[in-house]
Amino acid sequence: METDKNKISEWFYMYSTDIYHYLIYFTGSHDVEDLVQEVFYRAIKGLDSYDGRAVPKTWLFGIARHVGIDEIRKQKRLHLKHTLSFGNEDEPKLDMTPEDLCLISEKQEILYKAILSLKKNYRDVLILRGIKDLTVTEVSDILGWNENKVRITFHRALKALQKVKGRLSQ
Amino acid sequence: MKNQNDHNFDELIDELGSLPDPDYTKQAQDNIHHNLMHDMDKKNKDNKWKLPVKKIGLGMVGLLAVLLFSILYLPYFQQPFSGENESPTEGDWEVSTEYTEDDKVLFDVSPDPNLTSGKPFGYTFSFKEQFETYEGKELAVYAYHKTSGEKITAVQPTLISEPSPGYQTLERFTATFDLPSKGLWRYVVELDGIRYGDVVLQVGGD
Repeated sequence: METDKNKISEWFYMYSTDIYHYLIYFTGSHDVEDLVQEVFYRAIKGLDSYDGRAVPKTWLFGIARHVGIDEIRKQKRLHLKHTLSFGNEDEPKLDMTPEDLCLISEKQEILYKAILSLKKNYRDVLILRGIKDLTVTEVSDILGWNENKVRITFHRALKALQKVKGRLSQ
Repeated sequence: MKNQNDHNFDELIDELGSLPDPDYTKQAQDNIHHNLMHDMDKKNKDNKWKLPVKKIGLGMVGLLAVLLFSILYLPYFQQPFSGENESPTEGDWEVSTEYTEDDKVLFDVSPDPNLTSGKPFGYTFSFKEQFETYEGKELAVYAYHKTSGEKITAVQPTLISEPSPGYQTLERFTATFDLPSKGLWRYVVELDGIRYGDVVLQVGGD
Protein backbone atom coordinates (compact mmCIF):
# COMPACT_ATOMS: atom_id res chain seq x y z
CA MET A 1 0.00 0.00 0.00
CA GLU A 2 2.82 2.37 0.88
CA THR A 3 4.48 1.39 -2.40
CA ASP A 4 1.33 2.38 -4.32
CA LYS A 5 1.29 5.70 -2.55
CA ASN A 6 4.93 6.36 -3.42
CA LYS A 7 4.30 5.32 -7.00
CA ILE A 8 1.35 7.68 -7.43
CA SER A 9 3.25 10.48 -5.75
CA GLU A 10 6.23 9.95 -8.06
CA TRP A 11 4.08 9.79 -11.19
CA PHE A 12 2.18 12.86 -10.09
CA TYR A 13 5.30 15.02 -9.91
CA MET A 14 6.64 13.55 -13.14
CA TYR A 15 3.54 13.91 -15.33
CA SER A 16 0.93 16.17 -13.76
CA THR A 17 2.30 19.30 -15.46
CA ASP A 18 2.05 17.70 -18.91
CA ILE A 19 -1.41 16.41 -18.07
CA TYR A 20 -2.47 19.83 -16.87
CA HIS A 21 -1.37 21.39 -20.15
CA TYR A 22 -2.95 18.63 -22.17
CA LEU A 23 -6.31 19.01 -20.41
CA ILE A 24 -6.33 22.76 -20.95
CA TYR A 25 -5.82 22.35 -24.67
CA PHE A 26 -8.12 19.36 -24.91
CA THR A 27 -11.09 20.85 -23.03
CA GLY A 28 -10.57 24.50 -23.93
CA SER A 29 -11.06 25.38 -20.28
CA HIS A 30 -8.54 27.05 -18.02
CA ASP A 31 -10.05 25.49 -14.89
CA VAL A 32 -8.64 21.97 -15.05
CA GLU A 33 -7.10 21.49 -11.60
CA ASP A 34 -10.06 19.35 -10.55
CA LEU A 35 -9.65 17.34 -13.71
CA VAL A 36 -5.97 16.70 -12.99
CA GLN A 37 -7.01 15.51 -9.55
CA GLU A 38 -9.67 13.29 -11.13
CA VAL A 39 -7.07 11.76 -13.46
CA PHE A 40 -4.95 10.67 -10.52
CA TYR A 41 -7.99 9.54 -8.50
CA ARG A 42 -8.89 7.24 -11.38
CA ALA A 43 -5.28 6.10 -11.55
CA ILE A 44 -5.37 5.20 -7.84
CA LYS A 45 -8.58 3.25 -8.37
CA GLY A 46 -7.20 1.50 -11.42
CA LEU A 47 -3.75 0.82 -10.00
CA ASP A 48 -4.64 -2.79 -9.16
CA SER A 49 -5.55 -3.46 -12.78
CA TYR A 50 -2.57 -1.57 -14.22
CA ASP A 51 -0.54 -4.37 -15.75
CA GLY A 52 2.51 -2.31 -16.67
CA ARG A 53 2.17 -3.05 -20.37
CA ALA A 54 1.72 0.67 -21.07
CA VAL A 55 4.32 3.01 -19.63
CA PRO A 56 2.89 5.16 -16.80
CA LYS A 57 3.03 8.30 -18.93
CA THR A 58 0.81 6.97 -21.72
CA TRP A 59 -1.45 5.19 -19.22
CA LEU A 60 -2.03 8.47 -17.39
CA PHE A 61 -2.54 10.40 -20.63
CA GLY A 62 -5.11 7.78 -21.66
CA ILE A 63 -6.98 8.37 -18.41
CA ALA A 64 -6.66 12.13 -18.86
CA ARG A 65 -8.19 11.88 -22.32
CA HIS A 66 -11.23 10.08 -20.94
CA VAL A 67 -11.54 12.60 -18.12
CA GLY A 68 -11.36 15.35 -20.75
CA ILE A 69 -14.05 13.72 -22.91
CA ASP A 70 -16.33 13.34 -19.86
CA GLU A 71 -15.78 16.99 -18.96
CA ILE A 72 -16.59 18.21 -22.47
CA ARG A 73 -19.81 16.20 -22.47
CA LYS A 74 -20.70 17.54 -19.02
CA GLN A 75 -20.12 21.11 -20.14
CA LYS A 76 -22.14 20.48 -23.27
CA ARG A 77 -25.06 19.13 -21.24
CA LEU A 78 -24.95 22.17 -18.96
CA HIS A 79 -24.81 24.43 -21.98
CA LEU A 80 -27.78 22.66 -23.55
CA LYS A 81 -29.81 23.26 -20.43
CA HIS A 82 -29.51 26.99 -20.94
CA THR A 83 -29.61 27.30 -24.67
CA LEU A 84 -31.04 25.25 -27.45
CA SER A 85 -27.96 24.73 -29.47
CA PHE A 86 -27.14 21.97 -31.88
CA GLY A 87 -23.66 20.88 -32.64
CA ASN A 88 -20.98 18.32 -32.07
CA GLU A 89 -21.26 17.09 -28.46
CA ASP A 90 -17.57 16.35 -28.33
CA GLU A 91 -16.58 19.80 -29.46
CA PRO A 92 -15.03 21.85 -26.65
CA LYS A 93 -16.10 25.43 -26.13
CA LEU A 94 -13.33 27.93 -25.69
CA ASP A 95 -13.97 29.76 -22.44
CA MET A 96 -10.48 31.15 -22.11
CA THR A 97 -9.25 34.53 -23.05
CA PRO A 98 -6.00 34.57 -25.01
CA GLU A 99 -4.41 35.92 -21.83
CA ASP A 100 -5.45 32.80 -19.95
CA LEU A 101 -3.35 30.80 -22.28
CA CYS A 102 -0.73 33.50 -22.60
CA LEU A 103 -1.51 33.49 -26.30
CA ILE A 104 0.16 36.76 -26.81
CA SER A 105 0.06 36.69 -30.53
CA GLU A 106 -3.07 36.85 -32.64
CA LYS A 107 -1.53 34.14 -34.77
CA GLN A 108 -1.46 31.72 -31.85
CA GLU A 109 -5.03 32.55 -30.95
CA ILE A 110 -6.20 31.78 -34.48
CA LEU A 111 -4.21 28.54 -34.47
CA TYR A 112 -5.81 27.38 -31.24
CA LYS A 113 -9.32 28.28 -32.38
CA ALA A 114 -8.65 26.38 -35.59
CA ILE A 115 -7.59 23.29 -33.61
CA LEU A 116 -10.74 23.37 -31.50
CA SER A 117 -12.92 23.60 -34.60
CA LEU A 118 -11.53 20.35 -36.00
CA LYS A 119 -13.05 16.93 -35.53
CA LYS A 120 -12.13 14.94 -32.45
CA ASN A 121 -9.60 12.56 -33.98
CA TYR A 122 -7.68 15.48 -35.44
CA ARG A 123 -7.75 17.44 -32.19
CA ASP A 124 -6.50 14.39 -30.31
CA VAL A 125 -3.52 13.83 -32.52
CA LEU A 126 -2.65 17.52 -32.96
CA ILE A 127 -2.60 18.17 -29.22
CA LEU A 128 -0.70 15.02 -28.31
CA ARG A 129 1.72 14.91 -31.21
CA GLY A 130 1.89 18.57 -32.24
CA ILE A 131 1.55 20.52 -29.01
CA LYS A 132 2.71 18.03 -26.36
CA ASP A 133 5.33 16.61 -28.70
CA LEU A 134 4.72 12.98 -27.77
CA THR A 135 6.28 10.32 -29.98
CA VAL A 136 4.24 8.38 -32.53
CA THR A 137 4.54 5.29 -30.30
CA GLU A 138 3.28 7.19 -27.25
CA VAL A 139 0.33 8.65 -29.17
CA SER A 140 -0.41 5.19 -30.56
CA ASP A 141 -0.54 3.81 -26.99
CA ILE A 142 -2.78 6.59 -25.71
CA LEU A 143 -5.28 6.55 -28.54
CA GLY A 144 -5.16 2.79 -29.08
CA TRP A 145 -4.32 3.23 -32.77
CA ASN A 146 -1.54 1.61 -34.70
CA GLU A 147 1.43 3.82 -35.45
CA ASN A 148 0.56 4.08 -39.13
CA LYS A 149 -2.86 5.44 -38.29
CA VAL A 150 -1.25 8.01 -36.00
CA ARG A 151 1.03 9.21 -38.80
CA ILE A 152 -1.73 9.36 -41.42
CA THR A 153 -4.24 11.05 -39.12
CA PHE A 154 -1.64 13.57 -38.00
CA HIS A 155 -0.86 14.40 -41.60
CA ARG A 156 -4.54 14.82 -42.45
CA ALA A 157 -5.10 16.85 -39.30
CA LEU A 158 -2.29 19.22 -40.26
CA LYS A 159 -3.82 19.61 -43.69
CA ALA A 160 -7.25 20.37 -42.23
CA LEU A 161 -5.74 22.72 -39.66
CA GLN A 162 -3.90 24.65 -42.32
CA LYS A 163 -7.10 25.06 -44.27
CA VAL A 164 -9.17 26.29 -41.31
CA LYS A 165 -6.36 28.51 -40.08
CA GLY A 166 -6.14 30.12 -43.51
CA ARG A 167 -9.87 30.76 -43.48
CA LEU A 168 -9.81 32.26 -39.98
CA SER A 169 -6.86 34.47 -40.83
CA GLN A 170 -8.68 36.14 -43.71
CA MET B 1 12.24 16.09 -51.72
CA LYS B 2 9.68 17.91 -49.66
CA ASN B 3 6.92 19.65 -51.56
CA GLN B 4 5.47 23.04 -50.72
CA ASN B 5 2.79 21.47 -48.48
CA ASP B 6 5.39 19.62 -46.42
CA HIS B 7 7.32 22.87 -45.90
CA ASN B 8 4.09 24.49 -44.76
CA PHE B 9 3.50 21.57 -42.40
CA ASP B 10 6.97 22.05 -40.90
CA GLU B 11 6.04 25.62 -40.16
CA LEU B 12 2.70 24.54 -38.81
CA ILE B 13 4.32 21.91 -36.59
CA ASP B 14 6.72 24.59 -35.32
CA GLU B 15 3.77 26.84 -34.61
CA LEU B 16 2.02 24.06 -32.70
CA GLY B 17 5.15 23.42 -30.69
CA SER B 18 5.45 27.09 -29.88
CA LEU B 19 2.03 27.26 -28.25
CA PRO B 20 2.68 28.22 -24.63
CA ASP B 21 2.49 25.93 -21.63
CA PRO B 22 -0.29 27.40 -19.48
CA ASP B 23 0.77 28.35 -15.99
CA TYR B 24 0.51 25.53 -13.48
CA THR B 25 1.60 26.88 -10.14
CA LYS B 26 3.62 24.87 -7.66
CA GLN B 27 1.00 25.66 -5.05
CA ALA B 28 -1.81 24.23 -7.19
CA GLN B 29 0.29 21.16 -7.83
CA ASP B 30 1.05 20.68 -4.11
CA ASN B 31 -2.62 21.12 -3.19
CA ILE B 32 -3.69 18.42 -5.63
CA HIS B 33 -0.89 16.17 -4.43
CA HIS B 34 -1.93 16.68 -0.81
CA ASN B 35 -5.55 15.77 -1.63
CA LEU B 36 -4.46 12.65 -3.47
CA MET B 37 -2.22 11.42 -0.69
CA HIS B 38 -4.96 12.08 1.85
CA ASP B 39 -7.35 10.06 -0.31
CA MET B 40 -4.89 7.20 -0.58
CA ASP B 41 -4.39 7.12 3.20
CA LYS B 42 -8.16 6.98 3.61
CA LYS B 43 -8.43 4.20 1.04
CA ASN B 44 -5.71 2.21 2.81
CA LYS B 45 -7.47 2.66 6.14
CA ASP B 46 -10.76 1.50 4.63
CA ASN B 47 -9.02 -1.53 3.11
CA LYS B 48 -7.52 -2.45 6.51
CA TRP B 49 -11.06 -2.80 7.80
CA LYS B 50 -12.56 -4.21 4.64
CA LEU B 51 -10.39 -7.35 4.65
CA PRO B 52 -11.29 -8.54 8.18
CA VAL B 53 -14.92 -7.57 7.61
CA LYS B 54 -14.88 -9.59 4.39
CA LYS B 55 -13.36 -12.57 6.25
CA ILE B 56 -15.91 -12.29 9.04
CA GLY B 57 -18.66 -12.08 6.45
CA LEU B 58 -17.42 -15.23 4.75
CA GLY B 59 -17.20 -16.97 8.12
CA MET B 60 -20.78 -15.99 8.90
CA VAL B 61 -21.96 -17.32 5.55
CA GLY B 62 -20.14 -20.60 6.22
CA LEU B 63 -21.67 -20.85 9.68
CA LEU B 64 -25.10 -20.17 8.26
CA ALA B 65 -24.59 -22.90 5.66
CA VAL B 66 -23.60 -25.41 8.40
CA LEU B 67 -26.63 -24.38 10.46
CA LEU B 68 -28.96 -24.78 7.50
CA PHE B 69 -27.44 -28.16 6.75
CA SER B 70 -27.94 -29.23 10.37
CA ILE B 71 -31.54 -28.06 10.44
CA LEU B 72 -32.52 -29.55 7.12
CA TYR B 73 -30.52 -32.77 6.89
CA LEU B 74 -29.51 -33.94 10.36
CA PRO B 75 -33.05 -34.92 11.37
CA TYR B 76 -33.14 -37.10 8.27
CA PHE B 77 -29.97 -38.91 9.35
CA GLN B 78 -31.07 -39.16 12.97
CA GLN B 79 -34.56 -40.59 12.41
CA PRO B 80 -35.27 -44.10 13.81
CA PHE B 81 -34.42 -47.14 11.72
CA SER B 82 -36.93 -47.10 8.97
CA GLY B 83 -34.98 -46.19 5.90
CA GLU B 84 -33.26 -48.68 3.69
CA ASN B 85 -29.92 -46.88 4.08
CA GLU B 86 -30.00 -47.00 7.86
CA SER B 87 -27.86 -49.52 9.73
CA PRO B 88 -30.05 -52.24 11.28
CA THR B 89 -28.14 -52.00 14.57
CA GLU B 90 -29.06 -48.31 14.98
CA GLY B 91 -32.36 -46.61 15.62
CA ASP B 92 -35.31 -47.54 17.80
CA TRP B 93 -35.11 -50.89 19.63
CA GLU B 94 -38.56 -50.88 21.15
CA VAL B 95 -40.13 -54.34 20.99
CA SER B 96 -42.77 -54.45 18.28
CA THR B 97 -44.28 -57.43 16.51
CA GLU B 98 -45.74 -55.40 13.66
CA TYR B 99 -44.33 -53.06 11.08
CA THR B 100 -46.36 -50.02 10.02
CA GLU B 101 -45.94 -47.33 7.47
CA ASP B 102 -48.26 -44.31 7.29
CA ASP B 103 -50.43 -45.88 9.99
CA LYS B 104 -50.85 -48.97 7.86
CA VAL B 105 -49.61 -52.35 9.07
CA LEU B 106 -47.54 -53.93 6.32
CA PHE B 107 -46.77 -57.12 8.19
CA ASP B 108 -46.62 -58.65 11.66
CA VAL B 109 -44.85 -61.62 13.15
CA SER B 110 -46.06 -64.21 15.61
CA PRO B 111 -43.17 -66.01 17.25
CA ASP B 112 -43.37 -69.12 19.30
CA PRO B 113 -44.51 -68.08 22.78
CA ASN B 114 -41.55 -69.97 24.27
CA LEU B 115 -39.00 -68.23 22.06
CA THR B 116 -35.53 -68.55 23.52
CA SER B 117 -32.03 -68.53 22.15
CA GLY B 118 -30.07 -71.59 21.16
CA LYS B 119 -32.99 -73.61 19.81
CA PRO B 120 -34.94 -73.48 16.54
CA PHE B 121 -38.33 -71.84 16.86
CA GLY B 122 -41.10 -71.28 14.39
CA TYR B 123 -42.32 -67.83 13.28
CA THR B 124 -45.35 -66.83 11.24
CA PHE B 125 -45.02 -63.67 9.20
CA SER B 126 -48.33 -62.24 8.05
CA PHE B 127 -47.98 -59.83 5.11
CA LYS B 128 -50.90 -57.48 4.57
CA GLU B 129 -50.34 -55.90 1.16
CA GLN B 130 -51.77 -57.27 -2.04
CA PHE B 131 -50.03 -60.32 -3.42
CA GLU B 132 -48.73 -58.34 -6.42
CA THR B 133 -46.41 -56.55 -4.01
CA TYR B 134 -44.56 -59.78 -3.28
CA GLU B 135 -45.17 -61.83 -6.39
CA GLY B 136 -42.05 -62.71 -8.38
CA LYS B 137 -39.75 -61.20 -5.75
CA GLU B 138 -37.19 -62.83 -3.49
CA LEU B 139 -38.12 -62.50 0.14
CA ALA B 140 -35.41 -62.79 2.80
CA VAL B 141 -35.29 -62.24 6.56
CA TYR B 142 -32.18 -61.24 8.46
CA ALA B 143 -31.88 -60.99 12.23
CA TYR B 144 -29.54 -58.50 13.96
CA HIS B 145 -28.55 -58.78 17.60
CA LYS B 146 -28.59 -55.45 19.37
CA THR B 147 -25.76 -56.09 21.82
CA SER B 148 -23.22 -57.83 19.59
CA GLY B 149 -24.32 -56.56 16.18
CA GLU B 150 -24.29 -60.19 14.99
CA LYS B 151 -26.22 -60.88 11.79
CA ILE B 152 -28.10 -64.13 11.14
CA THR B 153 -29.70 -65.15 7.88
CA ALA B 154 -33.06 -66.30 9.21
CA VAL B 155 -34.71 -66.91 5.84
CA GLN B 156 -32.61 -67.35 2.71
CA PRO B 157 -33.86 -65.32 -0.29
CA THR B 158 -36.97 -67.23 -1.39
CA LEU B 159 -38.86 -66.59 -4.64
CA ILE B 160 -42.51 -65.82 -3.92
CA SER B 161 -44.69 -67.32 -6.61
CA GLU B 162 -47.97 -68.14 -4.85
CA PRO B 163 -50.04 -66.68 -2.03
CA SER B 164 -50.22 -68.56 1.25
CA PRO B 165 -52.43 -71.62 0.77
CA GLY B 166 -56.06 -70.66 1.35
CA TYR B 167 -55.29 -66.90 1.43
CA GLN B 168 -55.41 -64.04 -1.09
CA THR B 169 -51.92 -62.85 -0.22
CA LEU B 170 -48.90 -63.85 1.82
CA GLU B 171 -50.73 -63.99 5.11
CA ARG B 172 -49.01 -67.05 6.48
CA PHE B 173 -45.36 -67.10 5.63
CA THR B 174 -43.68 -69.44 8.07
CA ALA B 175 -40.03 -69.85 8.93
CA THR B 176 -38.01 -71.73 11.50
CA PHE B 177 -34.59 -70.72 12.71
CA ASP B 178 -32.59 -70.43 15.88
CA LEU B 179 -30.83 -67.42 17.33
CA PRO B 180 -27.54 -67.85 19.17
CA SER B 181 -27.98 -65.18 21.87
CA LYS B 182 -30.65 -63.83 24.11
CA GLY B 183 -31.67 -60.19 24.07
CA LEU B 184 -33.18 -57.85 21.55
CA TRP B 185 -33.18 -58.94 17.94
CA ARG B 186 -34.26 -56.95 14.91
CA TYR B 187 -35.81 -58.98 12.11
CA VAL B 188 -35.40 -57.22 8.80
CA VAL B 189 -37.51 -58.36 5.87
CA GLU B 190 -36.08 -57.69 2.41
CA LEU B 191 -37.72 -57.96 -0.99
CA ASP B 192 -35.24 -58.37 -3.85
CA GLY B 193 -32.50 -57.12 -1.54
CA ILE B 194 -34.41 -53.95 -0.63
CA ARG B 195 -35.46 -53.49 2.95
CA TYR B 196 -39.22 -53.85 3.27
CA GLY B 197 -39.67 -53.47 7.02
CA ASP B 198 -38.53 -54.68 10.39
CA VAL B 199 -39.76 -55.79 13.80
CA VAL B 200 -37.97 -56.11 17.15
CA LEU B 201 -38.39 -59.09 19.43
CA GLN B 202 -37.10 -59.95 22.85
CA VAL B 203 -35.50 -63.39 22.83
CA GLY B 204 -35.16 -65.14 26.13
CA GLY B 205 -32.41 -67.49 27.14
CA ASP B 206 -30.20 -68.73 29.88
